[in-house]
Amino acid sequence: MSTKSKYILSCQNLRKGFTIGSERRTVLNDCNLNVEPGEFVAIMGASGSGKSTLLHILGLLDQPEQGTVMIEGKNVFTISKSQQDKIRNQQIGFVFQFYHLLPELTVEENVILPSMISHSFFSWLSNKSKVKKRASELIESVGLTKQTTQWPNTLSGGERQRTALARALIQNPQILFADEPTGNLDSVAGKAILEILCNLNRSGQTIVMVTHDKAVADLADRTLVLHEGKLS
Amino acid sequence: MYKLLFIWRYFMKRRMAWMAIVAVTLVVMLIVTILNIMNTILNDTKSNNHRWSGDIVISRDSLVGFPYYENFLTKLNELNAITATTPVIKTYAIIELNSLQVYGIQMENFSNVTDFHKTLFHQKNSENPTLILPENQTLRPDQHPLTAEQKKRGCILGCYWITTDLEQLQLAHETRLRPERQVPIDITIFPINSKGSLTGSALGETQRFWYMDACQTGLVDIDQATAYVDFDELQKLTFMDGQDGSPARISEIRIKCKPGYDLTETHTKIQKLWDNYIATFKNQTDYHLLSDVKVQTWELYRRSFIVPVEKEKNVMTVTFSILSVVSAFIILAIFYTIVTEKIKDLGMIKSIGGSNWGVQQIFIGYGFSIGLVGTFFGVLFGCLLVINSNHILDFFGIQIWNPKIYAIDKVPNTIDINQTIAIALVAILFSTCAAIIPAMKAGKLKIVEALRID
Ligand SMILES: Nc1ncnc2c1ncn2[C@@H]1O[C@H](COP(=O)(O)OP(=O)(O)OP(=O)(O)O)[C@@H](O)[C@H]1O
Ligand SMILES: [Mg+2]
Repeated sequence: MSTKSKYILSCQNLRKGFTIGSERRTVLNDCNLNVEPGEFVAIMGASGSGKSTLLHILGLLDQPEQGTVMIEGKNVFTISKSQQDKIRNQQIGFVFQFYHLLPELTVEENVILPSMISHSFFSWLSNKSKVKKRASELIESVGLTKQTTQWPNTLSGGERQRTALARALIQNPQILFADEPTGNLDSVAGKAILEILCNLNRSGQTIVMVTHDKAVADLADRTLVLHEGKLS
Repeated sequence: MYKLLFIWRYFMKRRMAWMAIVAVTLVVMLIVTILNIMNTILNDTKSNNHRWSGDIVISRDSLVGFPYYENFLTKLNELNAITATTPVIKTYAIIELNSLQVYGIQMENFSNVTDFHKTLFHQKNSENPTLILPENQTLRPDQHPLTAEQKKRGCILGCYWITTDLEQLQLAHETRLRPERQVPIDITIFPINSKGSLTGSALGETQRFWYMDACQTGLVDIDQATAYVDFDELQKLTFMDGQDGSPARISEIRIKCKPGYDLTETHTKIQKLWDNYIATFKNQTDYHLLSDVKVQTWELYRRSFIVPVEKEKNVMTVTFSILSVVSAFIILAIFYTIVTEKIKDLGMIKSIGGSNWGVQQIFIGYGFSIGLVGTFFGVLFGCLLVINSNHILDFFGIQIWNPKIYAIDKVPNTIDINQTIAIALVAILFSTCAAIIPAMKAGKLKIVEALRID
């Protein structure tokens, strides 16, 4: 199933639409994308053009009607559910526009959650201190050391997004997806996030980011525009 | 591991979960309380009836009674399965213008079959309980001169005939109602001959007995209208001893089986023995006195007193089962809400690699732990309530059980462990299932759809 490829992420002929009532809308139509390791790709497009839909498919959160998505040369929609879970857990990090933190967990617990999921009960007990150390480094790198034990609903928007970012990074994913990570933040908070993303990219992190802000897109190596279901 | 963390957090941080716990607690408490109380009432009723009847009763529903019992008693006592038998005479009498039942009993045999002595107030712990007054009684000076025979006649009364207040009775026994105080009880009997007509003086035979003791068998119908006198005395008084030339008669034979003997089997055996026995009297003119004698187990013999309580228990059980089903739906609704409330979390957990089943386990574990904690408190409070029911009711000055209606004067306070465990298991199982339904539904939801929920 897996073929050697120089792309860490690629998709071919993606097609996805929605039926609302009796009306059928095609959002993605014959959409292609190739991302090399270490690349920082920005995707732009008008509101409602399907950017989030595309990113969800690439991040295995949704399924296309047609087409293939390859991550490290592996066709991710032909493998088993549990292998997909594993890819979501270990190879992909996802940052949402609306943070999507778990309200019943503290900042630290939110950050280490992906790692907890990947460990069984006993292997967690023996790896706990290692993971916690890594989490506290990440929390420090996003500047949230003081907020470690706070609940998400006591954080500001910027702090929540930085928590989400740390959570996306805890498993050292090959690809980081970010769907308008600064969309809900003011310019200062947004800048802090972008700075972290740029630093990550400089140290080799592959990033695919959706934004509708031209200034933000300019930080990327390459900018693609989604228009009428196609990337160009 | 993350599943346990979520279950714990949902448990501690969601108010809704506490409400669900309270709901489970209340329902379990209700069922535990009601079923235990009703169960104990039924068990007490049964065991009191059983004790007082013996295991098997041979009886005839007529004041005339039945003859030829002596040889049959001998035959019975030869049976392996039987430890004790006793003949009983049962008739109606008037005491102080009140009508009541009088039993003629052989104290020792009757006690062997029915543990009668254990239900007495004065002679409860006596080695050989008796209906004969001690020899060296000094009678009050105002009494008529009595023969030695007359001086001995003792009489035991059912405790509720004296008073329904058992504390009063205890007090009375310590002061007034002592055998040596010679409280006279005049009993008037109407003797009936073997043809069923009044005999003797035809005006009733009155005889003076002396108050000896009171008994509390736990059967209200017995305890409120029964007197016990010596078997031979009553047989003479009722003309059932054969003084008119016909064979001596009795009303009942009570039989106690050896422990471990199968009751139905023994009953069949005795029935057969009886049928064979009376066949030899087929040509006698008084055969009809034998032909309608019944051989019954204690349950049949006392069924008219057991069945109402059984019915009551069943009605209660059905009523509360319906109530539980209603509560179950309410609990299901609460569970549905608390799980649905967290479906967005499910999307998030799945988006970072949690498996479908893993997420469902969280919800099922959530339901299970709510059920477990709720049931624990329900059983705890239910048992405490049952055990302390009398104190609680006394405290509020409430009397729920009228001892004249129920065969008990206190709210029962014993716990049926098996039944309680069964209730607890069902409650926990149900809570878990109540979470499975929405969890399964949640599992079907796509990640993006779950995340879209606000
Ligand atoms: N589950 C759905 N059911 C119906 N229509 C949907 C669904 N999800 C997305 N759409 C439609 O698909 C189109 C693309 O949505 P998408 O969220 O991908 O847009 P977007 O490019 O991310 O927009 P924005 O920049 O505003 O976030 C929209 O018109 C939206 O209405
Ligand atoms: Mg979008």
